[in-house]
Amino acid sequence: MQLKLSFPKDAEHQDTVSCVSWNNTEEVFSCGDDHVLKKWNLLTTDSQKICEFPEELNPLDFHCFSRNIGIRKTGQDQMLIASSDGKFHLLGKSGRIEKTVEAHKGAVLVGQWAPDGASFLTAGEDGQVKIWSRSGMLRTVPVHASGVPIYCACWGPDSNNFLYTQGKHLVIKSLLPNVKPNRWRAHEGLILKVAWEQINGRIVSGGEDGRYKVWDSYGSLVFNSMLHEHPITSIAWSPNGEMFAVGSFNTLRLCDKSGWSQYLDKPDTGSLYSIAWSADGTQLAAACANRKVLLAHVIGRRVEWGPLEATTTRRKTVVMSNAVHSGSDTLEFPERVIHLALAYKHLVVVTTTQCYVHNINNINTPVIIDLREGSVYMVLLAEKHMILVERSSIGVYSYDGRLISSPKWPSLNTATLNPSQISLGPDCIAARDQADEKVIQIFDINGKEIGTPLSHTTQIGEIGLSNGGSAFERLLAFVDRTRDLYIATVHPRPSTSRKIDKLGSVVQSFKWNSHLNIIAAIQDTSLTLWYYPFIIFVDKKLLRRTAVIKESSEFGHRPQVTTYVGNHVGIRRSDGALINSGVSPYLAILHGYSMSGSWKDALRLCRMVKDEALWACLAVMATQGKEIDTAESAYAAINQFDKVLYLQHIREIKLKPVQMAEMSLLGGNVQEAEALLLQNGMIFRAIMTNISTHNWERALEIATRNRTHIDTVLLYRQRFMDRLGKQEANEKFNMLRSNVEINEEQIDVKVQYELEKEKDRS
Amino acid sequence: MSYRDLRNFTEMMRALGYNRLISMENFRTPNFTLTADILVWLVKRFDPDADIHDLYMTEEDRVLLVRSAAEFMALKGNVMLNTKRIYQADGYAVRELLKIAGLLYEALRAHGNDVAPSWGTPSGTSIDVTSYIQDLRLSRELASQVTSKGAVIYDLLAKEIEMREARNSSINNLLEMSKVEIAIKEAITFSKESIQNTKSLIENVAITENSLDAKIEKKQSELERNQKRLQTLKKVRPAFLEEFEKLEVELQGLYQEYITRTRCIAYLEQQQEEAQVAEQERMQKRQKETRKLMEELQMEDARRLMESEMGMGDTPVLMSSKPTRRLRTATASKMRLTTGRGRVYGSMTAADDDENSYDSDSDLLLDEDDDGNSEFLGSGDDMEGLPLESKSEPSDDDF
Repeated sequence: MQLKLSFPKDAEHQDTVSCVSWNNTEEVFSCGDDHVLKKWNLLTTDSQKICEFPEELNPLDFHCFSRNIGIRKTGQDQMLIASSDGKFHLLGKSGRIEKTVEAHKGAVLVGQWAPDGASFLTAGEDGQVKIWSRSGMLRTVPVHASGVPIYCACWGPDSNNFLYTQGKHLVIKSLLPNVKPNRWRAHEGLILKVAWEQINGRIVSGGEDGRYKVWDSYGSLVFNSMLHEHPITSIAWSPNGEMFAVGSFNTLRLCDKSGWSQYLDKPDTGSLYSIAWSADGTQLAAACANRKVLLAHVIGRRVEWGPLEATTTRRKTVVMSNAVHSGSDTLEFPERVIHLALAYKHLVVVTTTQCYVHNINNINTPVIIDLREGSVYMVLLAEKHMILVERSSIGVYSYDGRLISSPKWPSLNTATLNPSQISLGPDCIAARDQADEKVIQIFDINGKEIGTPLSHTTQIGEIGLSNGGSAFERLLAFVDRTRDLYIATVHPRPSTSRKIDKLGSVVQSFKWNSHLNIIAAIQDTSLTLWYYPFIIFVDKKLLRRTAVIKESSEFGHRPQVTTYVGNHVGIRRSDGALINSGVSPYLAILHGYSMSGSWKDALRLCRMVKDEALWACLAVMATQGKEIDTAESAYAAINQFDKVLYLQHIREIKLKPVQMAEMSLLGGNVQEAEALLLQNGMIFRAIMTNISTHNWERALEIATRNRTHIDTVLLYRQRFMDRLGKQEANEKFNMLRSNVEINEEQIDVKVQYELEKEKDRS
Repeated sequence: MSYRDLRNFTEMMRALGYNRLISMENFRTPNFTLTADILVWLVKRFDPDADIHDLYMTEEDRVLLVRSAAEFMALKGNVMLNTKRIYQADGYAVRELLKIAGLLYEALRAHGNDVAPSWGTPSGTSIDVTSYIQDLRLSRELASQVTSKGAVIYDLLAKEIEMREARNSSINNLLEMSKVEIAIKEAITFSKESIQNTKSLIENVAITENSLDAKIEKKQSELERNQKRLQTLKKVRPAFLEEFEKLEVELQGLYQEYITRTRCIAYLEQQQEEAQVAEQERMQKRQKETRKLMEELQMEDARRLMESEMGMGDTPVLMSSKPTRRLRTATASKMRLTTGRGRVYGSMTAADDDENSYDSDSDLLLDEDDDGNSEFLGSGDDMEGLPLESKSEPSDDDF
């Protein structure tokens, strides 16, 4: 990634520029010691003087809060200026000062709107932090004077806590009562700037010791930079949390989110007092001490998919190259490129007002979609559909540009939607609820909710939908706050609830394969591949056998799975290096065979490869596919003799439906087996199945509904209770016991009769 | 204290290239060390030759420093500083220092801005001054020239009155054409001759050059030929060289062999010598022993003789007389041979252990008659030599 810098030439401030802020994606406000508020338009490259402040107003901090940032609307609601005389000023759209409040003793050093825009905080040289309402009424004073000036303060991801500097310390303070502030020593020198990112919750701080440091939201160090020559005077996160900019004396540096420097420039600007990113995260503005305003946009963003790679080389140019054919196409766009996504043979480029969908096979004739709102936060691609997350809605589009649906849920706030918390599968969409972090909303492509939202016991971090198989095999994987990886079925089967089970623990990150139901995850420092995660619902004991763990020292500390396309897992190390790790290709072939039902080929493959994990996968796949012979040989190969014996027992059953039901039972689907039996009118067997799985109530329910074998159920229940030596506690059974007479001999005869009847049928 | 002032001040100092980081917290409490350092630095920046008091250890020094700096700035920079505030060395001092720093920063900025668009004009000012200086010098020189020229002209004009007549006369004096012609012709011939001369000289030079070239060429070819010959000679192997080399190798081998043999011989000789020395030592040892024995015997004999002589006089109490006599005669003969030495022998008994005396003793032994010596050698270890001798002696001298 790189920055391309520019300085508007014609008009300059007359004195030091101290603050900048974006109005919308094309307009920047700046003000400085010359008491003038200027507006710079990036499209027309002209500047305009908005207003002049009174002589005694020296702005030190300036923050525009806009509720609706769009290209065509000038959306600023209110501007907040903190000045050196201890006051803050609220400005209206025209730049007229609407309200001035005496806030601090000494200069007000910080004024910042909360992310929700309902309040703002100010901090000053007197060491106080004050929270004000939207209209400028004092709400609380969470930090009282300590005599140490607060040079910088900022809001946390939710508007409930904020971070401020205190000399060499950083303090996270919550607005909720009875929460102890988290205070730690962060730098060797005075901390001048700090920034808290809204999506991943990372903190970056910079100070007079010439270093910038990245912290996670608990205050543990993620990255410590090398020493700079001059103090760090400004820091800003890009809105999507992927990178941040660091300003110092004659220095502008662009870093990725883990702190590694991507780009460094030494413009002749003096100290950069303030840096602000535009809402789309592609441009930034900085206030320079030598009266200039620096504007920059990010180029060199890169996406790749298999052998394809797309890079933004200029503001309006994307170069698409194919490593296999060693050719490249240059795509020119009429407007600035904001987003770039490449997957499933489609390149999607989002500009300020339009979305271009290029098919890889026919790159020069894109499908063009006009954006509804003109600001896209995120683009997600799946095999046949894509999602554009816009300012107020989520749109599901097909690749020919048709809007299919726009799913909605009550707490949807697209601006703070984390890319790792929304997932698009081939036929459904899953997103973590933003109000309740324990809930996942699941929709199908047409925007209809699938079942009820999935709710978990703890907060959910990342989610992911599988990409392979049919819609009924769709799986949802998610990692919760304790870093346990769970998977759940997406489509609830008829009359059954959603199944959720824990796949692994200490999972740092995970990715589904781009075409198959395989999960690659980082557990601690090793890479784990679950060849067939569905196995957890079938036979937990086999889960270990189908998981392959790759230990490698080259992954280093805190690796992260970024891509899993085809047979390659892309891993990003904490220092930003990308590592490609190969995965056995046989797995993909096996999945292909099982999907197409060519079990003979699958068997031959497994015999050739002689891998236990593959055999285990095949065993479960065959059980799911109700292939007795294949399952038998597969189970035999992995020494599961009990399964083999049971399969042989199933084979002896002559009745086809019973056989199928037994296979379902072997696959762990009691409900399915029961449904199969009931469909085929084998009520007795359905009841007996429920009895043998100790599903007493269900057995009784079937029996009472069909008015047969109630007494049989009761008898077996009684025998069971007697064996355990317990008293009947279930009301239903007690009630029926008093009504129905149980004659053991008669029941035995009845059972015998049913068995005979079954034999006759076969 | 204003946050803004401090911020701007640090920025300006950074831009001016102050070598130390000025923190936002540095002036929260009075910090005279830093203030003084910055003040001195700024003044030096203004004028590197500025004379400023740069001590600040004592109160007087500080006052002097602040005052001298303020005076300097007021005089040179037209900047009025509040000395009291500077002395406070806190935020207010920053505001005062900011005045100086601001001036310098503005200059830097203005200069920087000028430099940015075009390169020609900004550096012009300094060049202009030097060119003016040059002009000044030039004009001064010209002025002096004007006066000197004027004086010369005046002198010449003064001469004009005398010269006028001569000029007029010479103008009036008509020249004869023929004379003029002849003179001119002479001049022509003379010049022609000189041309001829130089031409011939040039030709000569060419000729000598050619000859030299030819010589050089000849020498060159000769050198080449010799070079070639040298090469061929170097290439050619003289006859018998192979044989010579072979022989050389052979000789080497032989020489090696010779060396080893000589070494062996030398070693053997050394061995032999050692053996001889050892033998001699042993012999000497034995001789010494025998000598000692002999002496003892002689002493014994002498004692007995004396005893017998005494006993002949008064007491005939004696052992067998015959051997005694024999001994006596032997000793007598010995004594006779070594006249006067008997006493010396007697005295020697006491210094028997002494090594030196032993040596002299052995010398004595060797000095004794050859007969005795050879007898000793011949007898070897045998002690029978003594009785043999004693046996033979009686037969030799018949009393």
